[in-house]
Amino acid sequence: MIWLVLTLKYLILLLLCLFVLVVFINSRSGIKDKNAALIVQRSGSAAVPVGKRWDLGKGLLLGRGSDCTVNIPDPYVSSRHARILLQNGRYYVTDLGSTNGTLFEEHPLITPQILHNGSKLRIGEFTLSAEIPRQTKADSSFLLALFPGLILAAGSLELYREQLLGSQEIALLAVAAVLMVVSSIIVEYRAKGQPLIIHLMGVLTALGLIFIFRVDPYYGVRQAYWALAGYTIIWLAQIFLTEYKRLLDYKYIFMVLSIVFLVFTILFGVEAGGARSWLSLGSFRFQPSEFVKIFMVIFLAGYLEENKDILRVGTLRLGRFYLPDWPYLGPLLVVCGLALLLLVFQKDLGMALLFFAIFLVMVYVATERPSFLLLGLGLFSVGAVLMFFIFPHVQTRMMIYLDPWEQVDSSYQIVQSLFAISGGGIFGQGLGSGFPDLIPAVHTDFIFSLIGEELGLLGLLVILGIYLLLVWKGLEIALNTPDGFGCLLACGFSAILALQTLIIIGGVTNLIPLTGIPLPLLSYGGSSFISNCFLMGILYKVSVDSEKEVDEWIVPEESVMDH
Amino acid sequence: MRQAVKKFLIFIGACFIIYAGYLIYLVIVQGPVLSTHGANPRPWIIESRVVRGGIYARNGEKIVESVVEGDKVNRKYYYPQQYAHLTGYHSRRLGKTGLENAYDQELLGIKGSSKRNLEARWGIKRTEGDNIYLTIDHDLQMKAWELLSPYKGAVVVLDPRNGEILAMVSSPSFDPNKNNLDENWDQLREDDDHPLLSRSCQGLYPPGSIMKIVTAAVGLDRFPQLGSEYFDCQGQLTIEGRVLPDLRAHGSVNLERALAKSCNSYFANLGLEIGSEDYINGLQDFGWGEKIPFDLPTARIPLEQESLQNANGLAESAMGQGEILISPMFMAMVTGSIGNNGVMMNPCLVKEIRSPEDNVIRNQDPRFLRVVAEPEVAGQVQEGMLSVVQPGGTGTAASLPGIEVVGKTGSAENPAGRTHAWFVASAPAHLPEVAVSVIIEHGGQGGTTAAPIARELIKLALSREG
Repeated sequence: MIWLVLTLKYLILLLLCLFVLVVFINSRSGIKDKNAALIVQRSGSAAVPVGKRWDLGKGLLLGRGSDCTVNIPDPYVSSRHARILLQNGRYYVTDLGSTNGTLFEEHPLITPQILHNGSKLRIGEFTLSAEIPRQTKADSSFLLALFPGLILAAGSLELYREQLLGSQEIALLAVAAVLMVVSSIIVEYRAKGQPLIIHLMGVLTALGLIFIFRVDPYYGVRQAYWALAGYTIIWLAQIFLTEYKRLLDYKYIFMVLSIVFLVFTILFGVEAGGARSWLSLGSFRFQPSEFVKIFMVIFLAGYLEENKDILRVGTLRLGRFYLPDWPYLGPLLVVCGLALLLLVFQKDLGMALLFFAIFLVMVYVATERPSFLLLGLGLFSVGAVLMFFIFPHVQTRMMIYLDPWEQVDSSYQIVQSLFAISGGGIFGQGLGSGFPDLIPAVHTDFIFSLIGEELGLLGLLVILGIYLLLVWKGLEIALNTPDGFGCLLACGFSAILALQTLIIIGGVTNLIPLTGIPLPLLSYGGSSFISNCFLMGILYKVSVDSEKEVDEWIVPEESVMDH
Repeated sequence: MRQAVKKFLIFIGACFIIYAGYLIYLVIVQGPVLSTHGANPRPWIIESRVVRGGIYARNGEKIVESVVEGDKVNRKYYYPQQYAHLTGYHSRRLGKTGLENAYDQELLGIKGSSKRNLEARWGIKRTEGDNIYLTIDHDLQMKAWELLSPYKGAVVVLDPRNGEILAMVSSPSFDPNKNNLDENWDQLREDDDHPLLSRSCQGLYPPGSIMKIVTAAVGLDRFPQLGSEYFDCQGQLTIEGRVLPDLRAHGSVNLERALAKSCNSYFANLGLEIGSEDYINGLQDFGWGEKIPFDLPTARIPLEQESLQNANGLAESAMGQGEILISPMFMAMVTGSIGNNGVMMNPCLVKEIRSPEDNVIRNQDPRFLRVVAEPEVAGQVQEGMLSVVQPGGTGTAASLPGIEVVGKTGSAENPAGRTHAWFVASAPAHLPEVAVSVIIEHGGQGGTTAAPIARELIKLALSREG
């Protein structure tokens, strides 16, 4: 009996570690793709020595033209002679209608052919051979898709044992698990873009569901519905948003929506948890600022993309700084300043901090001018000092941050959070064995502390790693996107995930002063979850679309072939 | 644009690494401290679903037990005054101290991964905690308290061969039983005699003449021929214009006689000959400047190097009147280690931890702490200390018929009034089985006040051993 309980309590931790292991194994197999190369075996020109190699990467162009990666100085070679393209884990070689043709394994290349290890290409006087290390394109990547379901199953077993779940709740969780696993399998099967971000999201959502159920099944049921809705939104975004670039056309609409949402909140908002950041629609409450953060990123990405060249050069002199002209800088400052001001009026300082940081990151990425960062940090300091003197509760927060142990009564929440995390030890007390009742707001802002208590340091480090990987992949999408709008969009969304995670985890561990915002995807909260799903949906869409873009980018004059 | 994205990624990565490092620090370093923090209700919630283990003396005499009365569990301290500083107290309002604090996890039965431990941790059913068996000899502890309780001070009795503490009392004491503690709390806390302080391991006192044992050992280590050299005691010693008085002129003395007569001039002179650097090194060999690893919180034995740099400070410290401070437990360890051929054992208070079914879970084996002196050096100092207790010495009040007792008296000057009476002793002289350290605050001469207490305890301890 006790061994069964032990297994059930630590199964989730085991699964999390396994998940990390599988992700790691998969990433190793991915690295081998990068070692694929094209090597010169016989050269027809002194300019290209025998043995010279080009990394195949995602694909490359061969020809005499200067825009070709594999530049072959040979009069018999056309300016754009042939190309190699990576698709579905394989390299295809195509002749681009060259005058003198390409020989593939001594046969003229007519239809696209799969490039194998040691395959020989003859172009003019040159012989090139392909070096493609054996692809261990892991079948284990399909395992990744199962993890959200496994975690939900393992967690609900223990919760069922503790009689926190009834059959209805289990049925609900089963539906959610199926939806998540099916979503993950579909994105993995499509093999487009970055399916990993969907798997990571699934694991975080599943973990969040289990812990929210563990705190209070009432919240758990609601969050399960939000999970269903959120995943539906991701798929709706894939289907109806034919191209993410279309968002560019609506950027001003998003801007107006942002301001309208915030103004509405000021006018009709209700207060909860110290911040007046909720809108009430009948029995249904939602937090507009969670959506505004998405809208603002879309607006900023669009606006910055259109004006980044002008914003990069400064004409307006301000002391030692040169700032861009008012017609370009103005709207940016007015919109963001207004958003910040409105958030501060709502006393939603965590969200205000997040907005400001995202604004800074996006402006910096668009303009690459560190002076904007410095300026922003200066403004931030001024703002922080102002807040400190305007709001009494900011002063208490600061005092608590500096010494939570001095007055344990006023810093009750943070102190209990520290007790919980440190009390978890390395492996945690096991699922269901912590003391969530001791921490106020444990299902929303402080869920990290409960996870620390029950899954231990190991669990927390795994979760940190998952968030870091998610942000990393998000920024990788930004790097691989050919157009500026996509890059800024992906970067802004990744910044939301990264900064929100850092702000709240730092807050509950007293590494930085506490400002309450939800932990993305893990914390309870419909608005937060739905908006993050929206974010993930667009992010995934950007990654899928940008792969298409790469094709068009390599061969602009030719349509993409079907294989 | 891409460069900026990469920089942002590096920044975020660095932040995550810092966060991970901080979390590791929080759990590994802070964790043990926070788990017993007073504002942490978690141990008390676990407490409500277990029957806390008991604390027993060496031969199973019950000292503390949790008694279930209906649905209430009362913590009963059977010998409140005698054991208060060892067991500490256990109160929801005031927290936990002593063994109750140091062995909280064991007493709650949540340390470990046996079935019972897991059940306690997860609250599956009401379980019992582990029982703690001390190295304390109950009769000796009772006797020590009986002898010490009229005074303020501390007594430590230990077995130098394995470091086991046989008795450890501190006076004045208090009653850790819940009702009495809650009632008297304000008074206990404000009392100028500090009854809550465990004088035996946390009290720091000037050593007085018992310091001469250490000076002798350090001197012998430096000058192997010291035992046969004579020094002419004039009754006072003038160092850099300052006169250090002695009790009287002892005439021509060697080391053994200087110890027996507690000659200040001899040891002040010896200290000067050893020199600051070697003397400081010698003290460090004995354990000055380090924290004693022990089951209960102990005071670090401070080492004020600056006060030993000048000739006067050095001479005064060498005879025990300088700025040196020591704790009674440390002095018992030093005395014992001299008899134990210079080997100092790690002191220990908890002998065994047993499960509720009386199976031994953990057994404390003797642990070596450090070598304080070469065996020949230790032997010579032991000889000198033997003559202290023999006729003509200052500690004859500690002599026992048929048993060779070695000892050293001390009368430590202090700013608060009469001298503190010190007596440290061990017996039998060759390979002692028991070492005693007694301090009576403002007790006057060590030979008259402290030595008889040491004698009674040695007598009782040896009669039980043999």
